[in-house]
Order: sequence, then C-alpha cells, then structure tokens
Amino acid sequence: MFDKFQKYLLLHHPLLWNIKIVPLLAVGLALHVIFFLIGYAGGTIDFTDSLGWHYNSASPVIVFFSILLSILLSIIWLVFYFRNNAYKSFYKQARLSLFKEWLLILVICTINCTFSATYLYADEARKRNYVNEEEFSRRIDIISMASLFAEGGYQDNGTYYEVDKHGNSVTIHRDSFKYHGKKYPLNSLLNKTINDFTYQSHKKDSLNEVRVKNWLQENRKDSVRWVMDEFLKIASTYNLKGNITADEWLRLVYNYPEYSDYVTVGRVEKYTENSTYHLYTDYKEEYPIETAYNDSLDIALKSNKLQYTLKKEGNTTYAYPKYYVPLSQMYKSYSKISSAYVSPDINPESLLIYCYFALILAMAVFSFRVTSGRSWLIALVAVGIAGIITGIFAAVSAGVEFFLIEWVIIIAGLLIYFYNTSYKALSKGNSGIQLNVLLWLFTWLIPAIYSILYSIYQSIYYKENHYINNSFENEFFNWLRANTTLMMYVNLLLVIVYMYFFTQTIRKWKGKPEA
Amino acid sequence: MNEFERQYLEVQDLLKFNDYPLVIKRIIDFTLDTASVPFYIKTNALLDWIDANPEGSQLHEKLSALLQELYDKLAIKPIADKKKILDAEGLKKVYDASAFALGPVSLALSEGDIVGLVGENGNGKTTLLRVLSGELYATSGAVKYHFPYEDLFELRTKLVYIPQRTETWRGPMFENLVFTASSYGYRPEEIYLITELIIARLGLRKFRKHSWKDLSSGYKMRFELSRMLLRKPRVLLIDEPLANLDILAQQTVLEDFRAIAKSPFRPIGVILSSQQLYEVEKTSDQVIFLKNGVQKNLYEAENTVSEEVPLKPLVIEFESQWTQSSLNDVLIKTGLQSLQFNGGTYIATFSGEISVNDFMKIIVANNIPVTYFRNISNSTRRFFVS
Repeated sequence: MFDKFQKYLLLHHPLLWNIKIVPLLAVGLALHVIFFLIGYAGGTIDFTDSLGWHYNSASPVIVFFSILLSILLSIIWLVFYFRNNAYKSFYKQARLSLFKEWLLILVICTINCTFSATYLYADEARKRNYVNEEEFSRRIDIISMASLFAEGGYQDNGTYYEVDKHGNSVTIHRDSFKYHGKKYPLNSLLNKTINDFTYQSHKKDSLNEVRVKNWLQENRKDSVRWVMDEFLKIASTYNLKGNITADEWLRLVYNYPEYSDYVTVGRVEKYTENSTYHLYTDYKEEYPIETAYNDSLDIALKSNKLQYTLKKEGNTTYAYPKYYVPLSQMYKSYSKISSAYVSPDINPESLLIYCYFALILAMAVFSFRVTSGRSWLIALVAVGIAGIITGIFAAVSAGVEFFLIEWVIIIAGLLIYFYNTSYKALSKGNSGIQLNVLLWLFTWLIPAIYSILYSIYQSIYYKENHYINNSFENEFFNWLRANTTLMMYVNLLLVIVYMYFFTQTIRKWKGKPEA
Repeated sequence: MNEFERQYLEVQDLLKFNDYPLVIKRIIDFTLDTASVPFYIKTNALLDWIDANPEGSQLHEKLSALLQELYDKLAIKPIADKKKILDAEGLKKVYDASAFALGPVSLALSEGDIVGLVGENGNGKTTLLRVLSGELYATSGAVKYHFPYEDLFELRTKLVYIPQRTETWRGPMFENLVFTASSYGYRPEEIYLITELIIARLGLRKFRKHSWKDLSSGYKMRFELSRMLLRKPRVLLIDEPLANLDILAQQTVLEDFRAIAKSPFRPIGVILSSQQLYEVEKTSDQVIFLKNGVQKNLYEAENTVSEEVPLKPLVIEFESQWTQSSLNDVLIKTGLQSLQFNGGTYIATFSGEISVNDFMKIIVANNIPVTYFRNISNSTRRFFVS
C-alpha cells in the first residue's frame, strides 16, 4: 500500500515523495499510537493500593526507548530523504517549494521527537479519564470531608508561645481550643484536620473543612451521614469496602456537642517488606495510637486506642484496625488523579521544549540540505568558538545579560551583513556559512531580547525592593513575567513567518555563482 | 525540404540498410517530438515487443509503419526558427589564488549548435564551461542569455552543466529519472512513458534497475544525459563527455549529441569540451581552441576573434618511412612552406593554392610510402602541433 502511495506521490508530488512523508507518517503515527497505549495502560490506577506514592519505574525506561526509536527513525528517514535533492541539482522549483520543504521537515521532526510526550500524556489522560472533571471535583470534596471522621491528625496541640512581662518567651499548654468562639477539648473532631487535594487549592478555594465543621457545630447530623454514605458509595464503585456502614460510622464518631468522645475509625494501611516504608513494621496486634501520630501525642493518649489486625499476603502486610473505612486507598488514588489535573508532565511549558527541540532539529537538517556539509560544519565550529569567546567576555564583565546582548548583536549584525553585503556580492563566497548560522540562530533572537529586557527590569525591581522597599509597579515588567510561555509560542509563529521569506532568499542565493 | 523531412529521409535510408538500432533511436527522437501520449504508448509497446522478440521477423514492417505514422504526425507540425541562446563577449575569469586566467573568450550559441572546446589540460576548458553555466562569475565581460528567466536560480535550471566527475546517484536509476521528470512538471500519465523512451534512446534499458556503483563510467555518462534530456535545458554544457569511453562509445555519444541538439522541434545548444580532437571537430559546428586560457579560432564567425589569413594554407599531417630531408626535396617543388617532424608524424604546410588532390598526386608520382595522412587545414590539430 505504501508503494502505491509512494508511486502516486512520485508522479504527482515529487517533494512529498522525496521527503518520504507517507512511510514516515505511517510509522510515526503507529509508534505514537503504541506509546499512547503503553502510557494509557501505565496510567491505570490500582484503587485498592493504599501505598500510593510509588514511583512508576517503567517510565524512564519507556522514555529512553522512545528517544532511541526517535534517533533510529530519524537516521533511516535521513538516508532515504538525502537520496535526492532537487534544489541542489537545480531542478525547477516553485518560489515556495523550499518553504514547503522546511515545513515538512518540521512536521516530520515534531512527529519523531514527541513519542515520549504521547506516552506521558496518555499516562495522565488515563488518570483524568476515570471520572469527568465535575464529578471528580465533587468526589474529592466528599473524600476530604469524610476524612474528618477517620483516623487523622489534629490542628491545635494546645501549645502556645507567649511573651511574659519580662519579655521572655514562655510555653503555655492548654487542654482546649476555640472554634468560632466556642471552646472545645483538644481531641474534639472540630480540632481535626482533613485530607485535601492539590486540585482543590489549585483550581478553587477549598471550603470543605469549614463546611463540615459548621455542620458539626450546627448539629447537622443528616449532612454528616450523607457525606459518610456518599463516601462509602464512591468507594464501593471501586469494590473498596470498610467493615462498617454509614450508620455505624456515624454512631461511632458523632457525639454532639463536643465531639470529643468517639471511637477512632481507622484506615487500612499496607506496607511491603524491603520497602523503605518501615515506620510501622513493628506493629503489635494492639497498638497505641500515639506511634501513628507523634505530633498529637497528648491528644491521642486522651483519646482511644486503635486495635490493628495484621494480615500478611506475600510480602505485603495489611494493617486492619478494628473499625475501618477505605480512606487511605481512596485518598491516595484520588491524589494521583488530582496531580494529573494540577501538575501534568505534558503542559504548555513542557510542550514548548518538545516544539523547540523539533525546531532545532528541523533547522539542522534543512540548513544541511540547502548549503553544504562543509559550510554546515564550519558554521558549527564558528558558532562554538564564538560561544566560547562571548562566554569569556560575559564572565569577566557583566554576566548573563551581557552574553545575551553579545549574541543579539551577532545575530542581528549577521542578518544585516548577509542581506547588505553577502547577498549582493558577485559570488556566494563563504555566505553558505552565514546562511547556516542565520538559520540556526534566528529562532533565538526574540527570546534573547526578551531575556535581556527581563533581566534589566528584574535588576531594577530588586534594587527598588532592597533599598526603597516598595513594590515595583511596572506594567511592562508584570506583562513580561506573566507571558514567557506566550512569548515562546509567538516566537515559533514568527520563525515560521521568517522562514517564509528567508527560504525565498535562499532559493535566489543558490542561483549565485559559487566563486 | 525542411530539417524534419531531411532527417526523416535519413532514417528511411537507415531502414533500407537494416540499421535497426539507429532507426529505433531516431524513432524515439521523433516520438518525443510528437509530445503525444498515444505515440509514447505505441513506441514503448514496440520496444517491449523488440525485447520479447529479439529476432522478430516483422521488425522491419513494424518500424516502417511506425515511422510513417510519425511522419504523418510531424510533417504538419510547425518548426520554429532557430534562435540565438547565448553570447559571450570578452569573457575573462581571473582566479585570486592562482596565476591562471581565462580569456578573453567570445562565442555565440544558437539552438541546435554544438560548440566544441578543445585544448590541452589546464588551459581553461572547464573554467569556461563553469562560467557559461553560471557556476563561476566572469571577472570581466558578460554572458547574455537570450531567453526569459526570473532569477539566477531559474536561469541555472535552464543551463545543465554536467561536470567530468558527476555526483553519485542514490537509489535505483529509474526512480531517479522519474523523480527528475516529475520535478519538471511532466503530466503524471506521461512520466513513465517518457522516462522509458529516454532510457531506451540512450541504450540503457538493461540498466534501469541498476544502482550507480554497478555502472561503468560510460553508462554513468549516459544516465546523466538521459536526466539532462528530461530537464529540457536551453543549453547543455558538458565537460569531457568522451573521457573514459572506448572509441565506439565515443562515436555513439557524439552522434547522440548531434541528434539531441539538432532535433527539429526541440533543439538545444550544446557546448562540450574534449581532448578527442577529430571526433569533436566532426560533430561540432564551431570549435574553440584554448591555449593558456586564450581563445584561438579556426573559423570566421561574427563574434569570434580570427587569426586566419585570407587564403588558408593547406596543412597535411602524414606518416612516412622517408626521412625529413628526402621528403623535403620532393615536396619543395610543389609549394611546400614548411615540414615539421612531430612525434612520428610529419606536418607539411603548403601555400593556399595547393589542394589535397595535388598533394596525393605528388605522393603517387614519387612513390612515397605513406601509412596515414590527414588534411588538418581546418582542424585545431594545427594549434597542438605548432
């Protein structure tokens, strides 16, 4: 089938044939699908797992393989692509033919360089796809609120620091705290913390804790029961069960008005031998709560005791409290989903890295195609040497900004020199080298100018903050700070516009005598 | 009788004497002249038939029938007047790094013309070709191209320069040629047909699937020529096409150049450099001899510098067992101006009134043993020996 496609392209679109777009798209897209499937499979969450934050050890291996495959595919592609070069052989070329060729190279390089992105994206997409975002947001609120009624930490440990009349700091211990003007014992549910998710603080203000504690203060037993019931319902969709019903749970913990006399409902913890998670390995069958919650020792002691039943399955030990709900599993699983929403590996910033990497590669391949191997290599050495020299200058003088200023001058100067002198000269001379450098470095002109402006404004900002200590209100600087990613994307578009014109220059330049 | 009719009669003659390989070549030329897909199909079918029936008894009839059809089609096709393609005036190229300088050279080229560049190694033939092809710029003087072009790139697509050492082709030969044809905007339905015809025209049918490294240098040259044909250039500039070819292949390639250049409907200008003096002279319309970069011309031409005196002397190159003095004694009686001994051969220069036949009469009358002789009055051979 490829053969048929290729034959058709050879007769109708020689450029597409020569650049081997069809086989490359086929192989590239197939690999993307494979990496997507691997990622999607790897993104599966084991909701029964309460260990939670284990590291996906397959991930770096797969990313490594994706890079290896990219290199391999690129080499094979280049071997076939370099077989013919209509431009170098002075075949008839339309005005925009070179521009099209460059765009195609860019597309191919992008496809070739983004296997790992697809893999990482699929992994996170799988996590996000368990429930829709609205339902996810509702569920984590339920989990957060329900966590108040299970084993967990306390906010206030009754220790305060005050300054006495002699000006000394003294430690004061209290056995109560105030919540909304009312006094409660330290071990009251109203002093407990809840488990929250990054998604909540990132995407919206979390009011869950206030909400549930207000219910307690207002003795809204039905609402609390509803939370417990919803929590157990959600857990049951993953086949996770506690050993108590919502009603039993309510009876164990709900004790208006002080909420200090309750039976702790535990979570199920598990740990494996050989893991670094050794904190609990010397569990006894009956285990005082204080070891589990060192930070609230006093409160815990005054409270009740948790009894654990240990069950060993293979090298995994499960610790079952007397009464338990599957909170650990739910919290840890939903935390994974939360981070897939809040801090995905594939985001506009990381995609920029992929885009720019593909662009650098595309420029390297294209510049080699339109000039010669010799001038390509000389340009590489020249840029390297210039980099060292400008680096030394920058190091002995002002620093990074100076280095960037040097390069902005070099790029802009070379562009002017090329159009003003080299392009008008009788022969090509060494302009092939200049062309290579211009193709490689133009991409970085705007980011470099941006960085210079940013550094200048930043230094002013720090100066003012240090010595005058008022906030630096400059709209332009704030705009710069807020729009780095936008600038980099806009720069990509500008490079495409630049290449639209520059490729036409290159075509005309090629016609000039060699010497 | 126009150029096409003259060539048609030539092919009829070839057919009469059963010179089938040549007839087939010329039929392919005519087929390409038709620019018509039905004819491409017919001729390709005939070529396939010949492959399948190498000893086919109906070959003569088939060729004859196709030739007639081609004649009917082409006889009514208008033939454009031959136009001037380029002229160069006082062309000079000085290299910064070396003492060598080319020029001044002046020449003119029209459609259908073949210009031969001859001269010893290192005398500027390649430099001149490269200047004319736009690869080098002229330090002074200029080349004027009499056809439209938008920019230098487009100009160079119309000037095909084939250097002596050509670049390696990668991938199958046929695929390379189809890519060339496709790049040059042939219609998709005619690309394979035309490529097949051109391959057959240059005797490369057997080598279609070969790769570059499996080809001898002679066949590499032919593939370059077939690619050039697909590119429809205005000027073909070719450096030492005869080097590395055996004497038979040289004749064939030169004959191909003639046919390609002189096509009545698709004429192109050819400039070729060579050391094969006689062969090039036989084929070329104009010969430029370069000595230390300076042009020496044999023929009068409007744009060329002539060194000729009004009455041309007769110059004969010959081999004989006689000594120089014995020969001198005999020949001096019939207007001998000079007699040189030059590496095994004698070069005798007579005054302009003496003809070749007069020279032969003296040889016979004096019973002078001669193993070889050649009239080089009109040959740049004179420049090599003087």
